Amino acid sequence: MSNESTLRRKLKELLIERLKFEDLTPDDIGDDEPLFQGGLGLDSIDALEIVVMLESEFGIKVKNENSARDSFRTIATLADLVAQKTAVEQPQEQH
Amino acid sequence: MTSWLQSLPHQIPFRAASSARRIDQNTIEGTYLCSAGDALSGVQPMPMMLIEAMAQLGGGLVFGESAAPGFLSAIDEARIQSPPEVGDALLLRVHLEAQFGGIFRFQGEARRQGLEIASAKFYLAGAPTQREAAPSSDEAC
Repeated sequence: MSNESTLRRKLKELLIERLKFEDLTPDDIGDDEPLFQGGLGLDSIDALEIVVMLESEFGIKVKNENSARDSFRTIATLADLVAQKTAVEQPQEQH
Repeated sequence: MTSWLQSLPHQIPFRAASSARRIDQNTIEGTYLCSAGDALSGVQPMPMMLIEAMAQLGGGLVFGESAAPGFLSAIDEARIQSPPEVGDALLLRVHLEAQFGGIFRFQGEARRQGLEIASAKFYLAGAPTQREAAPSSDEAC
């Protein structure tokens, strides 16, 4: 499983845990399925929980609602945000 | 504003807290006095009034100086181990845990003589406010 797939699955597991989707499994959530409008049907309270989850699990602080709107669209875009932010904060070693 | 009580979103006869005091930028304390008049059903006071009182304190903390209204949007993990009784003077403590845009998440607890009798996580929704401009600590009854 690639790093990208691993990260996406990890995010699905975290969403299920944090948002208490007890009837869902990671396999039930598509990578490109909308999280908010339609799709999973998340709301603004869930968005706050995602913000808290990103900070506690990955050390990522999200304060801009407009940028979050794009990044929180799907699991794939959320994974892109995490990958991008964690890559910036942990630059690769130079040999 | 002369009192944190005046910052609460409801006033008498709908205000549940009898005192309010800001501890720090993210924490507020208050008192819930349970009188015979609170036993509306004629049996015993409604336990949910504790959660309402916590929510009103949270509203005072984040919407105190804003003319825009705030709304109790959700309650989660509410636990009431012991219902309020007539004659109780319960200490409420509400802590703002997280905010994103106009959504605020709080953790509240109620104590009787130091023992926790109720707790809840709840959310308020409203317009974001400039909370740095909030008034300093104050108390009134």
